[in-house]
Amino acid sequence: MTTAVPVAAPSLPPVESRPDTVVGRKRFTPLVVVSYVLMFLVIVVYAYPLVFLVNTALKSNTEFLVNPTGLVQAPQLGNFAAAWEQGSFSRYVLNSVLYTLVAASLGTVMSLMIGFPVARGYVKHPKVWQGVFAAMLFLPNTLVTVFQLALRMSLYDTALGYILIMASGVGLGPLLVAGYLNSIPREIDEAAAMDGAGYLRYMFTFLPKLMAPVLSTIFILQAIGVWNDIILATILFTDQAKWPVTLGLFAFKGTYTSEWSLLSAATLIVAAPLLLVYLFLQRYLVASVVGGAVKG
Amino acid sequence: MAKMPSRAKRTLRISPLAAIAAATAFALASCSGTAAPGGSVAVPTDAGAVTGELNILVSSAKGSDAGFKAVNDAFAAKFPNVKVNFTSVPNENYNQARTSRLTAGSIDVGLAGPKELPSYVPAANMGDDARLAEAGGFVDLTDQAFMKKFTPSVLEKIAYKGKNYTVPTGLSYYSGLTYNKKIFADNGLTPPTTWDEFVTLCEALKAKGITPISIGGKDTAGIVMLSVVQSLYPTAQAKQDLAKSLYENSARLDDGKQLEVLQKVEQIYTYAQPNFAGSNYSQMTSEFLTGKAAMISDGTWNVGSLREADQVDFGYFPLPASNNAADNAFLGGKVELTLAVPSNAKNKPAAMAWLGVFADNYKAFNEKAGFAPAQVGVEGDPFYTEIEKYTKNFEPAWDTIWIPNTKAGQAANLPFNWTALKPMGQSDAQAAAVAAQKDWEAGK
Amino acid sequence: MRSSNYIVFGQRWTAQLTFAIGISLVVLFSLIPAVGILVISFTDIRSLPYLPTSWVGIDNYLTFFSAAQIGYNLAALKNTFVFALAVTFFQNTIALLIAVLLNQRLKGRNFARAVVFLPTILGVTVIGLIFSLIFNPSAGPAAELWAAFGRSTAFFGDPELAMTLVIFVQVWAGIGVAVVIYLAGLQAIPPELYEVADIDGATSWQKLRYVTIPLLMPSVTANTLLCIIGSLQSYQLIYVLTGPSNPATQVLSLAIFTQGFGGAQGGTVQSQGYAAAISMVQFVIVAVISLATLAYLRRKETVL
Repeated sequence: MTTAVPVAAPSLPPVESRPDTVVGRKRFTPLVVVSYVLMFLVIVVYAYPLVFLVNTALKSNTEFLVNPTGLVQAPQLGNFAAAWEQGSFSRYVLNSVLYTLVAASLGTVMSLMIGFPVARGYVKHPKVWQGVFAAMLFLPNTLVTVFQLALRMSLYDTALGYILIMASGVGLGPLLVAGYLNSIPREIDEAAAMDGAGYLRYMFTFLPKLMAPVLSTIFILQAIGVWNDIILATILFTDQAKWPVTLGLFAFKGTYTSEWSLLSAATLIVAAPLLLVYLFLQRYLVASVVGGAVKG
Repeated sequence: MAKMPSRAKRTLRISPLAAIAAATAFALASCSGTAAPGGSVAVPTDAGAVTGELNILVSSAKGSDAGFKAVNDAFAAKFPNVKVNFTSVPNENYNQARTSRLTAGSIDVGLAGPKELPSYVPAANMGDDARLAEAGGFVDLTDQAFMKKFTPSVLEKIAYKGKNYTVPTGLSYYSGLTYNKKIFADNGLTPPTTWDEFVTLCEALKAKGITPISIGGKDTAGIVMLSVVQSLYPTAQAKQDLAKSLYENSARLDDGKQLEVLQKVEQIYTYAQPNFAGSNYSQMTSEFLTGKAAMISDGTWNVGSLREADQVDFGYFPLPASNNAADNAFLGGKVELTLAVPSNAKNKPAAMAWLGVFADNYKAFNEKAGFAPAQVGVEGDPFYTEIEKYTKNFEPAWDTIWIPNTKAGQAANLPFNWTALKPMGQSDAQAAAVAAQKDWEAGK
Repeated sequence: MRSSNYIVFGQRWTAQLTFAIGISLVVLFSLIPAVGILVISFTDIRSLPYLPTSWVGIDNYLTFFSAAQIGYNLAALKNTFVFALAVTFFQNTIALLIAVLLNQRLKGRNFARAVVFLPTILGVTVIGLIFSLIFNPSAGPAAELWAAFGRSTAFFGDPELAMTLVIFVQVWAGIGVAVVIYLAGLQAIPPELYEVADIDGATSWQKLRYVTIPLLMPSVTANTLLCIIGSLQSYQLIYVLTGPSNPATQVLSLAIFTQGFGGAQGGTVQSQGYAAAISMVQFVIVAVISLATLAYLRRKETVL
């Protein structure tokens, strides 16, 4: 006989809207004030260097040469347009979007597919597999051999090869999945099974709802890795039509000097989409209440 | 409930791994080592016959990229049936990109610099390009018509065992100092020709509160060393003799002229701006352009940027580290990018045609690239005319002659150990030299 | 009684099949190439056409441990440990505090989260540029601050200060990822536990110590592991900030990079077999440390 799922009483409001102080009425307890001060400090420590970046991005090349660290005197908003042009970003942006979306999604799905059975012990030697997951984090740099493998599998200079290799770099994914699953009790599995859910249906429809924060985290981390990759793209692609956006940054780097102001502007352009994705995923990084997903 | 036979599954997992490892090993062992095709390819004259794709890979720089674009435009006009794929990659990634493309056979024109190994250097120190040249990995360009357009003395410098596998794109010099003409004039100074004159000049500037030399930290502190070596071992022969005697252990790094190198570098560091170890190339350039520093230890590759900034009227002279003015007469430099055609290039006719177009349009290339010209009769930036008296004899800089011993310790890499000198490191000249000698001996 | 890994979903083979599909891609492109690296470390392969490859046994390893290089490599190893320990400790503790801070319902916390996360997206070259500007010894804000105390220093060029500064920048750049992982972990903590603690009259500090941290241990494990591995392997930031051969900040991963992969035009002198051998040495060092850390943290997890 099933017992009610003792995770959360459905009558509680979601985490977000509940006040976090013991006495809910007062708005500005010392704790809250301290929190705001600390948060302000954190923002300053992070925003100040980033302001430097924007400052550099607005300088002309000559102004940067003459005055690298000072406040910009003659802001060149045109730098962003110039960087866009010189880096041929319009050609490459679609490639990056394709590679990132497909590889990160594939990687996230794979992390789930291999993390779940190991966490629950549905495959033999789960401890060994956990060790393998950890080992995957510090494998030696395999560019040389991966390249040879791709070459022999006729995946050289193909988008498919690039995506597959990038997707296989799951990094922390399986470990995070396995760790998070420790806090999802088996009773939920059982309840779903009783309701007639099969393994696949459970894994691909129930679990993502329960694990939204962790899956979003895995997705964004892998997406950053794929979006920012330079080296694999450099050695795998000959055809410039397949280049991701990061290779557009090459246009600004020189042998002895680089065009730092344009490079800064270009980097901001390259970073902007990722930031938007991160902001978008923020809402999923907040858990939906576990109890809401399962009827008691 | 069904149970998968666990033992079978486990062995199933391990043996494929072992099998694949073995297969990889076997495949790798047999992959490279095919004999290189011999012979040369003539430059095609019929524009219609040259078709297909042409893959070019060079390392990126604003000037040379613009120069290559001009050449590509000229090429497209002359050989319209070829699709040119021009890729430029930053220096730090260039080797990996080139290696992978060579393996995949997808470069037609790339950069290469095979350096001949002197007899006294152990064969293990041969670089990738020298090995490729030995194995016939580059097309022999010696007899090509377009080679005759380049200055013979330059071609001599980049030949490998008497053959030319590479095409030069220009020269740059870096054993000198860029100086601010106005500051010199205001203080009644002229470019020094001996070490004592140089020291006097620096002291005079220091007394006036002007930074004599701005050094860009790790980015340019090594150029100071190369400049000093240029004066103390002025000719290519002197440098080769030094290298030979070091390898044969008949000279030591911690006495004689070798020690003098570090001592003079140490002294020059005292004329640099305070805390220069934390500076970098951009900051050094900025101090020069704002008139805070009278000189910078830099190479002629920066001429374009300095011109564009248009802040300072500048000149260039060799850093005189010897008291014999004749030793300080010429600048040391190197041949900049050198182009080569791999033997496994898929489109050799197009590659040859492209090199022919390059040679014909060299003037247009160099106008953008800003190097010292590698062709006779081509005028570069007026700056190069001004320093002609220092470049009449092309002297190769020390780093183009010295081949490091990979078996020796890191302190003997250059082999002059400037990274250990204060304020870059924590030793004085004597201690740094002793450390270098110790590491050098470890590689015997 | 049912065994602990009894599968509620009927047959086991669905689980094993999907697992196999998922793991096979990872094995193919991650694990097999890694085995390949081990294999080529016993050769002198150069990965170039026309150049033959031959077996050299353990020659590559012997060169790495040879008398000439060992002093240099050991010094790099010492720097590596200092760097890794400092970065792991500071990055994790500060990130945990920031995550707890930004998990509270404060106005503007989404902005704060985005700002903290931005360095992760930007890439090493630009972060290096920013901090070399800030720590410009002659004209930057840090120099002015230092001058206010009446002192002057070369910052990244100062052999005494360089390591501290590099650690600072690495921590600054790495906190974003750690915060994101901690935030995800914080969401996993059932809110009733806080309710219960409140009813028992716990202060915020006690809630942090007895509810939050113990339940956050899986995230702590993941973050610590990630951080240790990252700081043992990462060299890009150090390369950009202090150059490839600065003895004050030379770490093993950078030494490996310059010996194996660095090189101007003309190709490298060392073979890729040598580079593979020294990558394997690094792998063993990192593996030993990481697995030890993992075992220690897992035990802590179950205890708590």
